[in-house]
Amino acid sequence: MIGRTIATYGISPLWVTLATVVAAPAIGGLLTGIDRKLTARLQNRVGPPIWQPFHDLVKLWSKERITVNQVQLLYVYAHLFLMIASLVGLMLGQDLLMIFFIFAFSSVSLILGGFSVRSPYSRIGSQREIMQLMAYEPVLVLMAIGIYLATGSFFVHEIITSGNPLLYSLPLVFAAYAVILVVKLRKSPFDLSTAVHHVHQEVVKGLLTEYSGPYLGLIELANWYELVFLLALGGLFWATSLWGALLAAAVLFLFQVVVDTVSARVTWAWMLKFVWTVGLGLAAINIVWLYM
Amino acid sequence: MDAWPIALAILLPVATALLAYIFRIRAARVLAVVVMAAGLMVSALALAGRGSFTYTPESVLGLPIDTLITILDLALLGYLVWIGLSMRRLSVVLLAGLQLAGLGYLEFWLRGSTPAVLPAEPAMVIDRLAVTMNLIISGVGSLVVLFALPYMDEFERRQKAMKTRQPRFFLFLLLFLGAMNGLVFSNNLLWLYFFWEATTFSSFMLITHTGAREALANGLRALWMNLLGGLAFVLALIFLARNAHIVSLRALAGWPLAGWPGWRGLPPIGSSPDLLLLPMGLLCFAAFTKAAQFPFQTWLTGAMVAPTPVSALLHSSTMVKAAVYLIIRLAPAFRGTTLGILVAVIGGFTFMAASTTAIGQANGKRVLAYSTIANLGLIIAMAGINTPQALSAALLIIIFHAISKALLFICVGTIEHGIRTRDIEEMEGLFYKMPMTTIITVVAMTSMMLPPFGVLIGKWLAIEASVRFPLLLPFVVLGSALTVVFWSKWLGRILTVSYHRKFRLEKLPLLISASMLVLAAAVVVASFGIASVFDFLAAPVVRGQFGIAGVVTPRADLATGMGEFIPWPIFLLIVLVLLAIPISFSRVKPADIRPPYLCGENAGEKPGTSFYSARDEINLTRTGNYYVTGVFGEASINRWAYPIAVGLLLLMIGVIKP
Amino acid sequence: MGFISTARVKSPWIMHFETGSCNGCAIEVFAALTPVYDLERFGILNTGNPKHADIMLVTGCVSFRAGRVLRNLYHQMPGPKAVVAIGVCALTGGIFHDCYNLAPGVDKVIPVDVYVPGCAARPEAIIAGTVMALDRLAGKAGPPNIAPGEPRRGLEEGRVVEIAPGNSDK
Ligand code: SF4
Repeated sequence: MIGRTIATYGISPLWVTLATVVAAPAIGGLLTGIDRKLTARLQNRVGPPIWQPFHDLVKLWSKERITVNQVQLLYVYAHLFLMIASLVGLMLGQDLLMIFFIFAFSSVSLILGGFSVRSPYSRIGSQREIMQLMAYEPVLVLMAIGIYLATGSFFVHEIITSGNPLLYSLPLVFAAYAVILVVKLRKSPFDLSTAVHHVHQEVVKGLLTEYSGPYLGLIELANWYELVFLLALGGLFWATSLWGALLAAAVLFLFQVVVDTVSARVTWAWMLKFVWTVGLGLAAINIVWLYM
Repeated sequence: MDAWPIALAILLPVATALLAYIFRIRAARVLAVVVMAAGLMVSALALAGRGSFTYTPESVLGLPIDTLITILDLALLGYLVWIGLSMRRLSVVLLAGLQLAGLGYLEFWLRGSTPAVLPAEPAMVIDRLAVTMNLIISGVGSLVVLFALPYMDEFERRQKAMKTRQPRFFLFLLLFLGAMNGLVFSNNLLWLYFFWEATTFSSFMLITHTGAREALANGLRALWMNLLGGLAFVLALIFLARNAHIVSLRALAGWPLAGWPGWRGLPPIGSSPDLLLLPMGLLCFAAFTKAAQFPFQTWLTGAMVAPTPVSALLHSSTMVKAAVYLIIRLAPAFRGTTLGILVAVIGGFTFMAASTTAIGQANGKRVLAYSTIANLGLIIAMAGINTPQALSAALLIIIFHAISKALLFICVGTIEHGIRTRDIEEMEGLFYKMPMTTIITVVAMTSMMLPPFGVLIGKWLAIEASVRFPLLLPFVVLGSALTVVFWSKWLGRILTVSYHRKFRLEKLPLLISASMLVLAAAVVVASFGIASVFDFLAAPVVRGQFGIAGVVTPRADLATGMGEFIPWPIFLLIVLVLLAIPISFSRVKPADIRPPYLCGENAGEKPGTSFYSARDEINLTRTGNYYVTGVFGEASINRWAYPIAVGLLLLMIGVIKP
Repeated sequence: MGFISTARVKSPWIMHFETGSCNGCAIEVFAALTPVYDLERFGILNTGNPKHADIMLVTGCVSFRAGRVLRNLYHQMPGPKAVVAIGVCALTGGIFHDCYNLAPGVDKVIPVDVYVPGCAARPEAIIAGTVMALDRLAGKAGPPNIAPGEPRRGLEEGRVVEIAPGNSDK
């Protein structure tokens, strides 16, 4: 992966940052398009062209700026910037825990954005997003710990340069990660706080209800960064080879598309129970292996 | 004399307290407190500027200090017994009486019979740990006391008090400051015990300040729980004096003494485990009660009936920190023992359980109380495992939690006086009513849970430190995830705001806004300079114990060898986002404003607050937060938390019994 | 077509609002949204939220109460935006045109770009109408239709509902 290239060829971090900031939206947008196309095919539809997300983005940016209050915009910026920061941190091979905390900050910004308006829909969405955060956050931290126990470091670049793919030592954590990936991407059955990308709706549009036009576009952009971030994180499980990493990411990607298509939405309590038992349980068992 | 800062730190608050009590004029009180605050800060800075040193004051006004402390001790305990009698609370009478008996036995019987009990070590040792605590007490403490001046005026106006009780209030608040400073300087365990009991006493007097029925009940609960800890303390002292001839904290814990060439304490605990584990465990127990660890958490949540400065000073940033301070002092002695792991697990369990309970709380001060208990638990957990990284984490959390939490309490106190409630659900729209307070509250809350602020960095360090301790790990992981939940809920509630063309800053008394702003600035600056803070305050302590610091600060960041936290890029991003504020405010025109979506049924003047119902009536929109009291309520949590916590304490007895 | 108009034309998000009457047209709108017609082929998403929508599909005769809601929703849509009136009820009030509680026709309340007649309009016609409305998004359409007329008053439990004609966006 890119981190490995830095380690080997000594590319300046500035270039990595720039490349990430520029390339990630392109990849993320395309992946979102592929996601929509695949979903449509699975539903026996033709579906939109795969560059449809870019049309959406340009259209959103060209719309009238309307807003509910003056501060809404700040949360969007904070969400986007911190999301980019966590992706850049990952690409630069930084401390995984620190990256997760920045990532959490990014999610909290979006939640606060939903809370900042007096709309019941967006606030219910925010409440549910908090529940989602509560569900996946411990699994992410456990994942970082598992990676530490397997490689002896929290640094991403050391994972890449360490010998064995993480999948050997952390198969169950990988499974747990697949579960929280669906939660984090807000895909069915866990699309409680808002339903992204698709024709699904939930409490109108959940915590995105009050964002429109350019602001919604920025959130969409952040979603692409997030998708790339999460898939790259999945790629870490086979980070010793580029093809392996891509394969791991592709498996996760396909997994969430299929799950999204075949399942119906559950309540947040059900989600919390499921993630804390299955997700946390799997991750914890795997970590106990590592201690033994 | 080079010990003037010590004398200043302890005696100045005491003298000011007496002055404020005797001269009951408001102006005199304000003047005295302001002078005292300045004096305390000067003394704290003077101490911080010096290296470690020891000091043994011989006498005050011709009276040997040992004797003086014994007399005061006995008087204090006697008074507590009297309180118990007058309030008809058997537990208080019993616990205070037993302590009195124990202390008498120790002072008169043991001291007479075994000459070796006499202190052979300096009575006071001022090292970086003591300096850190002193900076918190004198710095944060002074600011809180300054805040208390206008706050108490408003408080009494609200209470419609006939006669002002402020002299009494400031008497105990300031006495507490002196006692607390004495506590962190003391090396002599007898002295430490006296100051310990003095803080318990002032805490009781301040909780019961209003004299209301609820205040009395909660104060008595706090008193008996703390006295239980005090009793454990006395038992530990007796045991130490009888069997090990130790009255010095450092000798007990084997801390190296800089600048004192004498006896370096007993050999580390491994060589005589039976001898010292019992007193060690008793002292830890005393600390658990004072730090309100489960199952003793109820006294701290009950103590929230006290006026807010009390909560800010005693029940979050300083007094309860005395407990974790004691455990950190003892930690070298039980490093790597079963007792250490058990202490860590008890702390970790409290961290998780208190964070969980906080989710179900709608009362702002109770959320703060539970968050305090949780953080104390985390510090204790870190002290229990006591590796270089864990100790660094504990120290960082002590420092940053003290600042952030004092600030939060000040904010909640101000909010309470502004909108007359501390109910989180009622704080909606605070951003418009009190923009400045809200922004500062947001800074404080963010600093409790999110990067790049100090408490979070401490948590990061705590997680990295506990990866080798599988028994502790699940608690730390779950606890830190749950922390985000209750803060974000609350944060979301106060940040809700409709469009207003202009926001007008609220008017606050000078001392309130000043103390808020100074503390907020301290939070930001200290977090930004966390590397320097660590190098100056925490690293020497860690190095003193382990020889290495465990955490290095190569590039204005913290690196542990396993990982690295670089706060400044996040600061940069936050500044970038903040730069968007003026742009956003100037760009958004009234014509861009649309009311929130309410299915098109918007009604009323204020957008989003009301809608036409199916019967064509105007109804208010209301969205409450999730509290899920069925799962996160106190009753449901206590159902499983109490048995586990009591079980853990019982386990500890098994570990420490000789 | 410019870059931006292309994007606008390729990504029209719709919302549907039913203002009363028999719901027949509303059912046909839902039919048009089903996988059988697969509107997502054209980038059309049903948002159900005026803040995200570009095109509003309105069906049904506009009762005074629904008119108030309709105007609010229209006001909450960010420009550029288009309105498609579907079914004769939405066009003129249809068989309900002389009811006491109606503003006969969506264009009495908000500007309308495309009229799709029918009772009920067929899904194909609805899709065709939606595609015609894309001209508005591309900036090629003329001014939308606003029916001039007196402000209408309806009495509902003693409360006066004002429905002024015209573009309530400003
Ligand atoms: S036009 Fe016909 S089908 Fe459509 S709503 Fe009116 S009456 Fe019903």
